[in-house]
Amino acid sequence: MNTRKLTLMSILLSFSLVIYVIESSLMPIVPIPAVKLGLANVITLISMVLLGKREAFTILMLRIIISSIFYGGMSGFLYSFSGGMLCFIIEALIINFFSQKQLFIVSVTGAIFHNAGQVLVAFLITKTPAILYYMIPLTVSAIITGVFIGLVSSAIISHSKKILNIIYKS
Amino acid sequence: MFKTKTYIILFTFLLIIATAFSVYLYSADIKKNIVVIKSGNEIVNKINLSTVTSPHTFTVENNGGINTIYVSNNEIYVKEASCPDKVCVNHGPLKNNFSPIVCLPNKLIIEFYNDNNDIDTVSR
Repeated sequence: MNTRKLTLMSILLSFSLVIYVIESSLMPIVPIPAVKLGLANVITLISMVLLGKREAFTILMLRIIISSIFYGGMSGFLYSFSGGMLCFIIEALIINFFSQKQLFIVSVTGAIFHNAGQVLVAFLITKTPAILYYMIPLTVSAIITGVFIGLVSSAIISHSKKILNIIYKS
Repeated sequence: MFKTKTYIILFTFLLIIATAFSVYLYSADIKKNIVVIKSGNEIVNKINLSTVTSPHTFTVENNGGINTIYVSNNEIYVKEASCPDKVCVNHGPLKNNFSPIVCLPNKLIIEFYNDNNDIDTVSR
């Protein structure tokens, strides 16, 4: 691992943390709990394309650990971890099949599995089968936010590739 | 894989179905008389809403958190909660068992009582 890569990774990590903090301090868009944009997933997608899967995994894990130390606490960690892990695994599996313009497909699938992971943990903690029905409204939000996140990611990637080319050449 | 168009159609289709289902789930007004307040899986309190004469509030202490619950004739909701996210307060009054009042940090669940406490018996 060279210094440039390390620097880029730490910049992306701090980006994702700042995005996470800003997003969690915003008012929720809809009154349904657990529905949010998931803007931090932009960083996961970007790092997966620009750096690689292993680096993206490191950034994601560090973000989850650091953000739960300062924000979510233990239960927050469980939800972030289960959702984030499932989302990452499915995105890492399918991302090679799609082009950069098709990233929104990857991000919608990831968002659906992110919700599935969180609902599953909530079910295991409360042991209430009714919570599983929660997947239906969450799928609506997953598709809408997933398309948005995917489009944002592919736009950012196409621009940052130019910047990275300049940096790497100099 | 497939063309982009295939996925767009697939997602739109899924979106419409899921929206229709969730609108149905949330608007269904299936009220029952007996309400149970649960801590995890244990029933802490059982209230018959039709016999409540004067509206009142009471507190439930659970898992280190406190929830203030408001009860009146035919209505129950969480008025205040010690947890940071206030999901249970924003939920509003209990309407059906598809969306029970859940406070995950305090492990508190408020829902309508049915004999074997299974969601399938409520839906059909």
